[in-house]
Amino acid sequence: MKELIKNAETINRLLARYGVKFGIYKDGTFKEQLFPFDPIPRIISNGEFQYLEKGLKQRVNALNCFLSDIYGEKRIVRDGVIPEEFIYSAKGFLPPCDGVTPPKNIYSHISGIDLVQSKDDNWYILEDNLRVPSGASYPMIARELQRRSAPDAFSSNSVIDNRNYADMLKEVMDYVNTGGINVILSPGRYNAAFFEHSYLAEKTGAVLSTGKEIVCENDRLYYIDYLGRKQRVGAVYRRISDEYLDPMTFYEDSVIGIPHIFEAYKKGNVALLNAPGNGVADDKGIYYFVPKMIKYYLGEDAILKNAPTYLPYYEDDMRYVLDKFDNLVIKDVAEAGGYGVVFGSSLSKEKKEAFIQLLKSEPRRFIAQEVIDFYDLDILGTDGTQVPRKADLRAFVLTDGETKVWPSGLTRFSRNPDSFIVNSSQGGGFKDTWVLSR
Amino acid sequence: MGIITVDKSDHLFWLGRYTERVYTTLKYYFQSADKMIDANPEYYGEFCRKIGIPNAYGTREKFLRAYPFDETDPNSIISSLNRAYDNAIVMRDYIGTETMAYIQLAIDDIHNAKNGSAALADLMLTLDHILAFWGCVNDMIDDEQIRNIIKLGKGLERLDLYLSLDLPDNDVRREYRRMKQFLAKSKLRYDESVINTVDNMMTDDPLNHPNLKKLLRNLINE
Amino acid sequence: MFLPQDTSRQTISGLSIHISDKEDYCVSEDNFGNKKLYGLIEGTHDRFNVTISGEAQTGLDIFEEYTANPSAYAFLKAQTPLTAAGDCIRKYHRNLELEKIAGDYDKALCMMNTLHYTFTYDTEATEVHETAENALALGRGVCQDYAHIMLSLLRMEGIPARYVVGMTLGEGASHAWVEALCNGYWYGFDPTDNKLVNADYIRVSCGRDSSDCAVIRGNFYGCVTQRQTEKVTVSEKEQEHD
Repeated sequence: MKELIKNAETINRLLARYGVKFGIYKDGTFKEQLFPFDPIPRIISNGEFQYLEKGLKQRVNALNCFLSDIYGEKRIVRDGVIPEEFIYSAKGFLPPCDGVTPPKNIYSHISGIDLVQSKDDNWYILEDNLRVPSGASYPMIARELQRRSAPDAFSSNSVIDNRNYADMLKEVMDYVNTGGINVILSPGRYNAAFFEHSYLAEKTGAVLSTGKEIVCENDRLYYIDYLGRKQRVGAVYRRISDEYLDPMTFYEDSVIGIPHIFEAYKKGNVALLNAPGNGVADDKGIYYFVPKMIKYYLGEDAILKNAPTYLPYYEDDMRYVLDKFDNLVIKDVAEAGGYGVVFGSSLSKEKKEAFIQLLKSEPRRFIAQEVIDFYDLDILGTDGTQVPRKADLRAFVLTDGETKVWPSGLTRFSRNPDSFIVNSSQGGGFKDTWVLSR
Repeated sequence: MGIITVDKSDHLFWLGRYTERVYTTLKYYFQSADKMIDANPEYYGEFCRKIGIPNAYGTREKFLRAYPFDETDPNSIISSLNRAYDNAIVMRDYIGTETMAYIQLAIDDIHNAKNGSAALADLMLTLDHILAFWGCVNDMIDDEQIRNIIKLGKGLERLDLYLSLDLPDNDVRREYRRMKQFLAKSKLRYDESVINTVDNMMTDDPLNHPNLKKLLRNLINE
Repeated sequence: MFLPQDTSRQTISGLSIHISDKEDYCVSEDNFGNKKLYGLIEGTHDRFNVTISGEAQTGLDIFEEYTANPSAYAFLKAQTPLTAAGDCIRKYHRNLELEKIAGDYDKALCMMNTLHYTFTYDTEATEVHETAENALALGRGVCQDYAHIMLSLLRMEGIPARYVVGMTLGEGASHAWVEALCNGYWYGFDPTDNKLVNADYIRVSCGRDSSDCAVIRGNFYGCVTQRQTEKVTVSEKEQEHD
């Protein structure tokens, strides 16, 4: 570990050299920032990883069953396990996807499941990201560079190599590919995660593309080169959100999508990773129901626990939330990226009253959770000492013929000692995540 | 890789052009700066005229500072380098992270030079990294189509600058011959009548630099 | 672009389709059962015309469709951003006192009737993407606004409802109305004209709200100003006896 800390400066220099950045809009202008990296890895023992792996596979399998059911028979609603207003009024439920079966019936190919560890060593699921979870590229390249700057740290520890992510991702794309090349569809370089899009394209051999480089003709997608030659596209790992994917089906003014791509997808002529419409399953309101889904579809008890969550939608829960307001964190189900999160204890009296009014008038819009006592991870402070910070873990779960968990993950931490918010857009940094082979 | 879309061929072409622009204007800037030390302090006026940019600098000191480092001036070297970066960053999967890193390093150099005490000497590192970038293009990019388009951009930019700077006719003829090879290999669409006319003009002695420059600017219509 | 198609109430025949200079196009069906015509024109062009003509036999029945499984349409109970109720619609809804009316069909009739007499037809008042709430606050609007407000009210009552685009007898533009699912049957209500949908109506497409069934939708690359015109002609034809 000493070696890693000693070489912190070197690794930061290498990260800068390779442009490991994320984009951010500040005051209306686009800026690229280096993603702050902390050299001390999060270490997960082999036994602990096996436990996480089992729980994550179970969760993602159930979520895939749920998506297939919701856009198909809707048994879970009919059987009263989830109230219908949590499905059909969710922004993520896309009626155009109703009745559409994706290639190989996989909806969430790349799932980013956020977890935290509490002080009593329990892991809790914070949220599921089944649309376009990002972040795998950062630990991939950090590992590459850290092995270069501190090789001894790796020869003396048995760390599972995480640089196979590109191969895993390629396998997923190949598995659902309907014939043709693999493409990574990016909104363009002014997207926050553009580094990742381009890096994953390079490492998987997929073509990085923007919407206007691809056309849909007779329900098939083609990539057209500068000599006018056409190449069929069989799988699109799209890094743009559902609304922008196809101006002819979704948001009409989208200029980053591909007109009629949805028709090609509907007719089974191209695979989209992840499938459109997944937002209905990673909604913060639906989160509450995931353990019930696991029971319903798999007949098993959830291995990984949710953070204790309340739905003000249910009267009992509303009463509890109002009673224990100061101990809870309230989340707006429509927001993401650390926005729309309110700690009950942090509100002034007036703000609290106003918020409770809002909560009562739109109960479906919020969930409330117990504040988890995080197990803090050490980071290297600016003065060279180690200081504890809040951190979470985004695990990447990939689904092709089977469901696999990447033996690493993105550990994000808050740089501010008083903050729980770890998102890069709000100043958080990242660590490598080591899974030990022994 | 095999498939280069119109947008991508455009990025590769301009990546070639902007890296060359940084390289050759930086070299010319060094020579001119030397002249301005004692021989001709006002030489920057001549510099601007030759290179075809407005002389809005006023003093030698302002020119020496602004021309390489002013990011708000679209004609500055740093602006050209930023444009090279813009074209490189969207082509990571074609040119590779290793190759791209040299553009990033060249940018870091120019920022360091700007903040350092020996700007001219520090700027040499930018040249080093542009050369390393080209070396990497040659060495690490498998697809010759990609290399040829970058080199066509580079060759055409160099020819344009050599004509602007009135470099010796033989240098111009050499660069023209080189550029033509990449033009053919790149398979990019171009105006053949321009090549026919320029071919004839290349036998003139001396060469008509302004006319050649004007003609060659119409070679590739985008 | 949507094509009208057969329902319980209408049959369509002899469709002829002309699209600028293009011969080929694709057809697909969306999950609302709409038949969509679409395609791509490569290369530069300065105009784009679509002409569709055909015959419709209407008034075959009083409902559009029967469905044995109303839960398949549960998602049409959910409001959309255009139909979401605000204070204005909530108040309007309360004043209707629908709890005094027994069946969904009669509730819908009451909504249509009240809306027709309390809302003013005005082509200048509202915008293309006006919400139902804003339109009702203004008290005036076009057929689209009538339909959105009625959809909002129907959904507040938990009645699955959809927006319909179609044509009526005469010359002019397309028209919009709503359909509500009552006891498994989809009935058409036209709050603009306070009429139950009958033989004067030809149905083209339906969706959650107007954004799902715009008559024509498209985009192009280029920097030009666009002008779009739409013309609808419906004329009556004598029934042929043989």
